[in-house]
Amino acid sequence: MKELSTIALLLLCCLSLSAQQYDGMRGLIHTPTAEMDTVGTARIGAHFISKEMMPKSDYFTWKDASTGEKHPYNTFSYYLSLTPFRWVELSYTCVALAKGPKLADYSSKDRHFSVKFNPLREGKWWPSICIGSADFMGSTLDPTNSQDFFCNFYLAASKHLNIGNGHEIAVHAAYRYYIKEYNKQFQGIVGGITYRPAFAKNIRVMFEWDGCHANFGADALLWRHLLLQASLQNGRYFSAGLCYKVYLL
Amino acid sequence: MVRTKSIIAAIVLIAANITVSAQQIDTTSSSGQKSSIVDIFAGVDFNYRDIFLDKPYQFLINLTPGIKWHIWDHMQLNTGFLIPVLNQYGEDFARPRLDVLSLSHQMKFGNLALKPSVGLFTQERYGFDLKAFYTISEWLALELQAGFTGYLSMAHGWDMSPLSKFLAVGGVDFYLQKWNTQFRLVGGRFLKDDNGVYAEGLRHFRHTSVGLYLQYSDFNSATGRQHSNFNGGFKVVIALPPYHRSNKAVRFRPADNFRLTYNMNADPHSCKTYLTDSEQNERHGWFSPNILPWGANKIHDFDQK
Repeated sequence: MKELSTIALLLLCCLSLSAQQYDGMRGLIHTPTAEMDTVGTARIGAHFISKEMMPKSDYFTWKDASTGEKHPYNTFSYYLSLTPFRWVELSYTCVALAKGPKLADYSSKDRHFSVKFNPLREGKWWPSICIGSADFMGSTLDPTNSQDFFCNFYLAASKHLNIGNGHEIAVHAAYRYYIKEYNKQFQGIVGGITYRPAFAKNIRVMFEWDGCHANFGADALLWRHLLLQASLQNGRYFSAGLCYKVYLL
Repeated sequence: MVRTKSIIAAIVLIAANITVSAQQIDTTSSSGQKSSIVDIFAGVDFNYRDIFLDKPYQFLINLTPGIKWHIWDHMQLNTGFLIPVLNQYGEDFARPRLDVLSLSHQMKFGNLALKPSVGLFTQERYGFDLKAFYTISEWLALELQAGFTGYLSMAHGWDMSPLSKFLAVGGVDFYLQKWNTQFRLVGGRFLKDDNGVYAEGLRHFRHTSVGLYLQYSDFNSATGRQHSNFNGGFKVVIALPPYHRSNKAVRFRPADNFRLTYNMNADPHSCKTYLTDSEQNERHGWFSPNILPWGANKIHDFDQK
């Protein structure tokens, strides 16, 4: 009953759910946080990603043969992630690459690994601190040009606050550094705020600044295993994801 | 001189341990069975590869039925078949064929466990194989696999070569009991006549093991292939239910595990060994739990009713 109410509430709010990054790591929409899954948690999921969130590289455009124009495209990712120990989270992500506008044109992919370390857990007075990297190791599609489409390194902090009557907000901040020039719009200070209501603790609403856009969205964990995610980038562009959580311990 | 004496002393100690314990051979059946048991099982062998720029993946899916006859006191006859269900890999994988037909026996001499095997193994090898595992302590052990095999393929009829290939891979295992985490470092001469080193770390959960591995092999440089000698990836091994097994003389069950190995460079040659048991996996190891109660073997996935 609780899950059905959650679904109804989310549909009414016209919010998709997307509280985790599209590469399977725990975070906000397009911003890392210092939150970690519990040890032994594995995620298997897929995510529809709007073109606004993609690197501004030619690999993420398709060329119209008749006009020569390049068009950015929406795409999708799928991933497997695991928190093998309390202090580390790992993820393997594939992002589909297209050479045309049709579904059949998504014929190759970028593969990459991500990692996050948690050297300092959150305490009563101090935040949780994480150091991580997305796409620190990936595919070699073009041997003459290093890929690293999504490669970035970050230092993040998160603090949860009980604001009374069981309501919780969390403040997240990070500094993110991208290797590639075409990702520099997402570089710098990023962060967000999340709100978890007392009456629906499996729902989380979030607002973030990813260095370039203001994004908002929500997520919900249904039946303890199904994590629904979605968001609006820059208030306009839709992304959504679905993830199945497995507890291995 | 001191180092030589230390090595000699270590060898003498190991030999003494084997001699003294030879009278203490464990004759208890691994499952407490009073008579032989036959397991008839089936699983799925799922392969995929991403080696073409214009295709997302290619798949090879085989049904893997098999029979295990637990003859007596850890002697086992194992057969396994490969029946292609979906084949995008090519003609070499198109025919249903015998994958494994091996006879093996597990023995224990004090801290040393041995498992000689003979017959047809995976990777289209036949011949002799010996596995040895020596436990030094609860967290440290040594392992060795040695084999003398020839090529035997039924992919296109019957194709066979004499016994000619040696394989010898040995190394050390560490097990951190508090976190059920195992580290393994082995090296030696692998199946494709390559010399290499292989390291992996596995975290063992309730019914699942997940790990990362790194390897170095001289196969690519020695054969002139334009690929790196380094490779790596991750592994997932899932023990499949049912987790309670009966004591019936004939048991029908699914395969006891599902393994997934991700190979970052799609290298099918380097640091390869064969399997002597069609259900062999990194979680359950080479030996049954009451022969070798060490490491992940202490996590009992399957109980006998």
